[in-house]
Amino acid sequence: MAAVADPVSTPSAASREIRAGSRLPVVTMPVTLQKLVISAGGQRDFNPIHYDAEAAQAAGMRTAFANTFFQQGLLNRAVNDWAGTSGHLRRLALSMRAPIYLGSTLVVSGMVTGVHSTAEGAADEIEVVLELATEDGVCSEATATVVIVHRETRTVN
Amino acid sequence: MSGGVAYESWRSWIGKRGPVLVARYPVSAASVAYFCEFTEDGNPLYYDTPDARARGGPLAPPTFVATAVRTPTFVSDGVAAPHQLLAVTVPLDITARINVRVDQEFLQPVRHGDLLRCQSEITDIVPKRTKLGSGYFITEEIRYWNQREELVAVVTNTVFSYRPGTDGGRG
Repeated sequence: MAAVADPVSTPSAASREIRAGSRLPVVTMPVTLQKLVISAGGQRDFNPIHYDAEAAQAAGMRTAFANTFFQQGLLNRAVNDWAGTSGHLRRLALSMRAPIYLGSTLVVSGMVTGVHSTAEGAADEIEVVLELATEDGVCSEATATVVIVHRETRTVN
Repeated sequence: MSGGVAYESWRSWIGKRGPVLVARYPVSAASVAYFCEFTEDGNPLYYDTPDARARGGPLAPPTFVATAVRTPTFVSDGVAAPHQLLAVTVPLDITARINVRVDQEFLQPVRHGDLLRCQSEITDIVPKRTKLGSGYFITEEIRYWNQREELVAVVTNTVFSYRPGTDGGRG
């Protein structure tokens, strides 16, 4: 994305000091049946194991569970909430270890593990580890590379 | 999947490419807004805002690419397109599947109005028994392009296809 000056950017990580160990704001999401249905419709993933308890149980699960897109979407949101409009995902690697079940509360947390500036200093590549956890414990883990573009400041009269 | 499958035939699927799937509809303000509903993602760059216009127009969230090429469940002309994940078409004696790992690389922004297409290639199949049952870890690489032939994303996806609670891996 072009590094255009912009007076209306949301607060961005670029304006704060980012270093290894910095934590992202936590995102919390109750996994209700309505939320799973909205998710399925918005993503166009109508596999019934993600909103129909009987279908999920036939596949050996306790009940319906959040799909991959649900998790990716929330991880992306967690990054957006933190990085603002000057940041974007370059890479997202998600490993799913346990189901995120209907009825649970999902908590997304993240921490910076590395900061790499480009040679020109125009952008930083931030390495982040993220975790999706419920009452059942850690369900998924992810690593992300977030590009944060440094913008010129503009004086608005 | 039906029985009678020559189970060894799955080996020949490693390296196989699926068809090029072209999105039926372009990315739109509505499709992006509906996608962002469940995450409650208010990133102004995903909507028609001054911020988005200052950067060349509204974007789709990067993880939207798979949704962009998803086949509708009903189409008026009755033509059904194949499923996006090639892994589900590998002939195996399984009854369930679950996604276990996805690695996404985002190379170009996707904007409202873009029409994406994708193609998948099976890169690995590994028989394995887990606590869910016996089955196969199937990995595929899905490449997404926009209408300008720019590669916008590369997604490496691994599915565990299995029979719940069965014994002994095949392979």
